[in-house]
Amino acid sequence: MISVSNLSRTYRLGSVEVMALVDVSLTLEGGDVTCVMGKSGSGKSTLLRQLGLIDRPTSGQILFDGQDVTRLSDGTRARMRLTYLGYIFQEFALLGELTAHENVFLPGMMLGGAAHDYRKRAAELLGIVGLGERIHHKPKELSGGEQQRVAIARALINNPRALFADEPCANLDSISSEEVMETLLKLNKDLGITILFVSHDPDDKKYAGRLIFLKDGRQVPEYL
Amino acid sequence: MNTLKVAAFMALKSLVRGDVRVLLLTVSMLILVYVNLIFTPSLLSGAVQKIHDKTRNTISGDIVFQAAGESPIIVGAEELVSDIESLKGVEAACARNSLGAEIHYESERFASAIYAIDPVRDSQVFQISGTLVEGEYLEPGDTGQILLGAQIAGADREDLELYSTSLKTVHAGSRVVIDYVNGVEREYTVKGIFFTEFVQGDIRAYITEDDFRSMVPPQLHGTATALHVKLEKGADRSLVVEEVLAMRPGLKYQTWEDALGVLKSMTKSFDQIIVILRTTALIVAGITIFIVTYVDLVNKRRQIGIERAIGITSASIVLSYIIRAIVYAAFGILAAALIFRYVIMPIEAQHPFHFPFGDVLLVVDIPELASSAAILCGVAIVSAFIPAYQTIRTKIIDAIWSS
Repeated sequence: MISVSNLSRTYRLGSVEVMALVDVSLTLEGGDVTCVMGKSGSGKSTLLRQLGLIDRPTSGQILFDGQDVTRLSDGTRARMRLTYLGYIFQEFALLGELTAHENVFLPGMMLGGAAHDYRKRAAELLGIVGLGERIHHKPKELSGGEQQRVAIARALINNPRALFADEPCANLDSISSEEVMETLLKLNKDLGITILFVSHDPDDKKYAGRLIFLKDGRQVPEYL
Repeated sequence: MNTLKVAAFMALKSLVRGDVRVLLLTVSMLILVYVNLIFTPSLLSGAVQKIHDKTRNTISGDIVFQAAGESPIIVGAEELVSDIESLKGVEAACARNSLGAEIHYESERFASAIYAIDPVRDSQVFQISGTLVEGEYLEPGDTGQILLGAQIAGADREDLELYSTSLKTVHAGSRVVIDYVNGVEREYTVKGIFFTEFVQGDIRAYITEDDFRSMVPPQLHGTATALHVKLEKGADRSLVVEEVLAMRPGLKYQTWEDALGVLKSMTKSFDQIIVILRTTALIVAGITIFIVTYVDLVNKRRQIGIERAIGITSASIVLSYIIRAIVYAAFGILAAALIFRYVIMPIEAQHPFHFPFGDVLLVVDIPELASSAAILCGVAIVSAFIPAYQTIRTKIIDAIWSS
C-alpha cells in the first residue's frame, strides 16, 4: 500500500517560487488502477515524480508499506526504484545504444541473479507486450507505440509492486494509445500490479478504477 | 559485482554501438600521446646509453684503478694486470701510461694526453681498433708510430666538431712532432687515425708501451698510471673492486659512471627533460580523455538521468565511463606500442639521429614503457571520473528534463 500525506513541492525559478504541488494526500491500495488528471501545469507529473522517487518533496510524507521513503538516502531510493517500482516516461526514454531486449533486461542485470533468468524474463515480457518478434531491434527501429511497450516491459522486469506511468500515450496515435493502455490493464489483471497513470485525455478515465484530479497543484475536492 | 557487471555491459555497448568516428579519433589522439610519451625519452635514453657505451669502450672500461698516494705510478703493472685478469667476472684488463704533450704539425699544434698502451691487451678492453678511418692500428714493438684521434688530426674533415683547433690536414703517414711535458721531443709517423664519434675519445693519441719505455728512466718500466678492467656481463663489480684492492693495497678506483665527468650532468639534464616531456604528454592525454568524456556526458545527460531513474546505480554509471576510458587508453597504448616497435624504430634505425657522440638508436626501456602505460591508464581513469562524477551529482529530474 502507498500512502501520501500533505505532499508539497515548490520549485524556485530565479526569484519566483512555483508551488507545483500543495498538500496532496492519497492512498493507493494494492491492485488499484488510478488515473491522475488535470490540465497542463496542474502538477500531475510532479506528483508522479515524487511517487516514483525521482524527485524529493518539499514537505509531506510518502509511505511504501508503512516505510517513509521521503528521507531515504539516494542509494536506498535507487534500490527502491529498482525493486519496488516501475516507471514509464512520457517520452519513451529508452537507451538508444541498446536493443529492446537489452533495454528491458538492464534493470534486471542491476538487480542481480543469473543472466539466463533475466534475459529470459525480458524476452517473455516483450512477448507479453506484443514485441516478441522485435526484441533485437533498437529504439530508432521501432514505432512510438512499440517503444512505449518496450518501456512498459522494462518497468516490469523486476516484478514491481507499483507501476507509475507519466502520460504513457501522450506521444502516440490513437491505435497505439489503445494498445498501450490495454497492455497496462492486462498486466494489472494478470499480475495484480498497482498502476497509477497520468493523463490529460478525458477518454482515459475509462481505464481507471479511480480518478484523482489536480488543479494548480491541489487536489480537486469532488474527486477526493 | 552487479555494479561492475552493469558498468562493463554499458561500456561495451557504448563502445561497440557508439559513434565509430569518436572512438577512432580518441584512440588516434591517445596513440599520438603515447608515441610522444615514449619517443623522446627513448631517443634520450638511446643518447645516454650511447654516451655510457662510448665512455666504457673508449675511455674508461668498466673500472679504472689508479695509485692512491702522492705518486701517480702503479708499479708492477704488468703482473697486476695478469692477476686481475684471473679474477672471476673479469673479461680483460690493461695498463696505460699517460703523459701530457703538445703535438705539432706544420704551423698547427694540439695539446693532448699521449697514452702508452700494449696494443693487444688494450684492444681487449677498448674498441678503438675498430674505429680506424685511416691507416692501421698499433702493433706490439712499434716505435716512432702514433695513433691519432680524428679530432686531433683533423684529416681535412671540416665537419669535425674540433676541426678549427685540430692539426687540420694530418693523415695516416704524416709526420708529427711531439713535445712531452718531461722535455722529450720526438717525431712520429701517424700510423692510423681513429674516429670513435665521441669527442672525449677522439682527442687522445696512442703510442706503444715500447716507445714509452724508450723515453723514460728504467725504474718506470713496467709501471702504469692507470689500470682498466672490462667485466663480463652480469659480473659483480663491487666484488672485483674488493678483490683488486685486497690484492694491491694503495690503489683507488673509479667506475665508468665516475669517469663520465661532465657528461654526467648532461645525462642528468636528459633525465629532467624526459620527466618534463612525460608530464606534458600525460597532461595532454588527460585533457583529451576529459574532453571526450565531458562532451559525451553533456550529450548523454538525459540518458544518464533515465538510467538512474530506472535504478541503475550512480557507481555503475561512473564506472562505465571509467571502463571506456581504460579501453580507449588500452587500445591507444597497444596500437602506439606496435607502431613504435614495427614502424618508428626500424625507420629510425635506417635514418638514425646523429649526435656529437655518434648515431643514436631509440632505446626502449620495458619497465619505463610499462610505467608510462600504467600512468596513462591512471590519467585516463581520473580524467573520466571527474566529469562522470560531476554529472551523476546532478538531480535526476534536472538531468532528464532540463536538457
